[in-house]
Amino acid sequence: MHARPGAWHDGAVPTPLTSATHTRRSTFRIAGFAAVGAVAVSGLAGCSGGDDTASLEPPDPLIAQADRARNDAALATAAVAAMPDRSGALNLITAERTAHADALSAEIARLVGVLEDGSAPTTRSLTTSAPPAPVAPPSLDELRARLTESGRTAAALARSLSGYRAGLLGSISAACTTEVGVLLR
Amino acid sequence: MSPGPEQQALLDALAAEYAAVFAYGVVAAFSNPDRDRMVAADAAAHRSRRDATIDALTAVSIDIPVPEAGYNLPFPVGDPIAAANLAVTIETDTAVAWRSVIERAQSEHARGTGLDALTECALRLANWRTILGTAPPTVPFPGQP
Repeated sequence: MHARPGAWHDGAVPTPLTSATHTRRSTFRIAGFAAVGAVAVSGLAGCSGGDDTASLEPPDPLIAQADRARNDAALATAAVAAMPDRSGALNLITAERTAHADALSAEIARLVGVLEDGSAPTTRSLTTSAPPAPVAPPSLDELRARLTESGRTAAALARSLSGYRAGLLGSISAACTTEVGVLLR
Repeated sequence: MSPGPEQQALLDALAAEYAAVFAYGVVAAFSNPDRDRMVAADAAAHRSRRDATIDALTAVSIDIPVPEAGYNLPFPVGDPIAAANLAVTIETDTAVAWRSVIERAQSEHARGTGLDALTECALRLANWRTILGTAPPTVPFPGQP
C-alpha cells in the first residue's frame, strides 16, 4: 500500500476537507469512512498480501484434525456393539474425541471470523448437522492403531504451529496417546 | 542473559518439576508399598525432566534457579489415598506447565520437548486416577488449566 498524502483510496474525495460548509456531523462521517478504509486495507494485508487469491489459500489444517476426531468418535461408538465389555472406555473415547472435534471447530471458526451481517461463513467441515455415515465396528487393535495415528498426526501438526493452536493440538495428541495407553490397555 | 518467552516457559516448567520431585518424595513415603516401583519410575521421570530442562536452559546461558527450601503440600498427606491424590495433583500441575511450554515455545525443538513431557504427564495422571477409581480416569484436554 503506497501512502500518498491526500489520497487514501482510489476515487477522488468529493468534499474538500477545508470547505467552509463543513459541519461537525460530516467530520464524523469522514472520520468513519476513513476508519472503515483503514480496517479494509489492514484486513487485506493480513490475508494474502493483498492479491485476489484469497479463495485459493490452503484449507485450515485443523479441519482435517476435526474430521479425524469425529471419525474416531464414530469408530469408538461402533466398537461398543462388538465389545460391550469395553463400553465404558469406548464411550469415554467417543466423548473425548467429540470434545476434541468441537474445540477444533471452534478454533477454525474463530480464525475465519464472522461476516459483516454477523453470520459465520459456512464451509463443509463446519456443518455438524449431517449424521456420520455408519461405520463397520473396528477390532480393538484397529482402534488402537487408529488412535495412535491420530495422536501422532496431532503432535506433528502441533510442532509446526504455535500459540494456542499448538497447545490445543498438543493436548489432543496427549489425550489420544492416553486413550491407547490407559483406556484400551 | 534475560529469558525470552520460550525460556520463561521452560523456567516455569522447571519450577513445576522441582515441586514434583519434592512431592514424589512424600508420595513415596505414604503410598501403598505395592506401588513402590511405579512411584520410583514416576519420580525418576520427573528428575529426568528436571535435569533435561536445566541442561536446555544452561545451553542458552540462562541462570538456573535453585529449588525452594520447602514446599507447602496442597492438603495433608498421611495415607496411601492422600498420597495417590497428591500424585494426581503433581501430574495435573506439571501437565499445565508443559502445555504452556508448547504454547510459548518459539522453536520446534522446544515444542517437541513440551509435547513429549505433556504426554508423559497425561499417561501418569490417567494411571493414578485409575488407581483411585476416579471417573472418568482420563481428561479430554491434558494440561488445560
